[in-house]
Amino acid sequence: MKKIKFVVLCILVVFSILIAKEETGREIMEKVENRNTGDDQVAEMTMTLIKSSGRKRVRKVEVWQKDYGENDKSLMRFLEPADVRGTGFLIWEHKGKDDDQWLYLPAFKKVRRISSKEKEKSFMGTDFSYEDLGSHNLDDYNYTLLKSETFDDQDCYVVESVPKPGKKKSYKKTISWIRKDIFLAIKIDFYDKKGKFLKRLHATNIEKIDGIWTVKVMEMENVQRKHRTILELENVRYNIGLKKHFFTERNLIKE
Amino acid sequence: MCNLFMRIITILTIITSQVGAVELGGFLSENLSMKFQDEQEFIKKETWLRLKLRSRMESSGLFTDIDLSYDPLYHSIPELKIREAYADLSLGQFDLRFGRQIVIWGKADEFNPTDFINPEDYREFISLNKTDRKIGLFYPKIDYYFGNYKVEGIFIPFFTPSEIPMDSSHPWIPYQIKDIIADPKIILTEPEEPKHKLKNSEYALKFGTTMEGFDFSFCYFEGFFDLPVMFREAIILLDTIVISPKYKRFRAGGFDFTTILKDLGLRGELAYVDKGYYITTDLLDTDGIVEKANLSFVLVADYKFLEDLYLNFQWIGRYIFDYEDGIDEDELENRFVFSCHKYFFYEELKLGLSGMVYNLRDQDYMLQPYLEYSVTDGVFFETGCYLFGGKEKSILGQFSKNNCLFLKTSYYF
Repeated sequence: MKKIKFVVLCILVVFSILIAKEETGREIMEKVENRNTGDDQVAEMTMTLIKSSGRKRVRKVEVWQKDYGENDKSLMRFLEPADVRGTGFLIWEHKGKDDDQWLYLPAFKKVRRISSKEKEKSFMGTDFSYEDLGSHNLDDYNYTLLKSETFDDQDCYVVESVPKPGKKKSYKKTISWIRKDIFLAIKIDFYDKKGKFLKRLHATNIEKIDGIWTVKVMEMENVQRKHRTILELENVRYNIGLKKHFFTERNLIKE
Repeated sequence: MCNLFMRIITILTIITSQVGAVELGGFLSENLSMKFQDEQEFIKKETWLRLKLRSRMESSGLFTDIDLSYDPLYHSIPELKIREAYADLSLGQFDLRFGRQIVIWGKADEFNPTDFINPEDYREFISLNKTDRKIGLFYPKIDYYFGNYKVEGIFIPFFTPSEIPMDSSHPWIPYQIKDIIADPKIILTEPEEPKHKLKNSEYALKFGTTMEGFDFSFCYFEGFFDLPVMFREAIILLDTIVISPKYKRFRAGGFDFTTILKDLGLRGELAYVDKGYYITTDLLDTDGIVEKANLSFVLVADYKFLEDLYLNFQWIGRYIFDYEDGIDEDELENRFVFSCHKYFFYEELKLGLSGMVYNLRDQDYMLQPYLEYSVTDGVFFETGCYLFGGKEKSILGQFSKNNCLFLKTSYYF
């Protein structure tokens, strides 16, 4: 009898250790957010907008980003279509307060400060919003680890992110499939403010570039509007040594 | 002129091919405007080609913008304009720009009291945006950057005036000029332009920065008004009045800002001009003009709703100091501009309405409802109308005979 009690006790101890080792949703998302993405990066993004009829439109931008710890900065220059070529978009992200954002419109030769609410809007008419493409403040959400699941032959954590009360976000919740081996989201389901399934992101062509895991193709499908956008990254380079004052009006206005 | 143009293009092409890859862009557009009255007479039948040549290296670049336009209603041959042709050079914290260029000062939208630099072509003041109305000038510009601060200096060696329609059949000729031309008792002399001397050159300086979500700048300008002042000379014996237009010099200081307040975009400008010139009805005044300082301002608020709906409101004003009776303008003049637009179908379709009330006293206005459709990437079709109203002799009301429908197709490359 004593032997049985000892075995049960051992099983319980081992099981509780296993539970303790299972990461929480917050810990998983911290690892996703804190994974190595380099000090800075530059890339060309091509976005192909596809209607349900199959009709396509193409947008192309060049992006520079630098990690300043809590305050990332990024600069985008629009290359295509031709009518918006030269348009620049500068973002200074701040933790705990609204971002600074400026738009340079070459047709008007003006730099315009724009509301950070713009982040919730569609990026260049695509299915991505500025918010989808930017970084996130971990403290703005509550996370729940829902389960583990295999997706695209990869072992994944499935984590639900719900904005904390009072935090203004575009979505009621998102559910992310995070690869356990490299802590990278390869699928995200977005739910609109009414809680209805809105769109799905699917990341493919994941490569290691300059020692950093990089998603080279993302497809965002808006199931409500039956429209999708394929975003492809090209000429990705990391740690190129962008100077601090690169992210200023001086570079924003260079067409 | 064509030879000169070809030489410039050839030289620029050779230089740009030496310094880096040359990027060619621009657009081709066809513009038609048809009056609602007068048996739907056309007031615009324009074909417009803009060529943009760009070559940028790490710290230098060459840029050329050339317009070739043809409107058989106003020109017998195509009109060629080199809008800009300049070289850029970055040296440490300095950016130098040299050549024919356009600079627009002021953080507000279309109405910028601090925009003193380049003159405008008022022959197309309705159908072109402000940047396209600007006339390129030859001058050097230097920008000095330190941290988030910027100092900008401009020296314009030679004065160039704005262009105003002087042909009485032109649809956009102001009634003041039309009346002078039509009156046989008034002789309008050629404007007296400042001579090309160092003392007649123009200077501009600007200091700007961004702090805690607030961008602002201060500026100073000394130079000439781009439009002439219409001085009156009475010749009693012949019962004739001679109007002698002269370009007058002034000094101005300005301030502009932009910020975001609870998702509301706010921006504004303020400019003090030490000498403004106003027509007076005081018969004792010998030249019909009084000189007074003035303060011009503009305040813009805009808001973008999530569903791609955009609203914009502007309050534009000017206050004349030491005002006296007889001045043909109000002591405090107010204008209001509003616009809104909404995108549909992933930004393929844009519906909008712009409007302007020029003067509350005259209640003259302009309305522009429009529709813009992107047929495919870089190809646009636009239609809408310009509707004017108000007193016959008011800034906008005078053009009520020009109420028209416009059609525009554009191809960007």
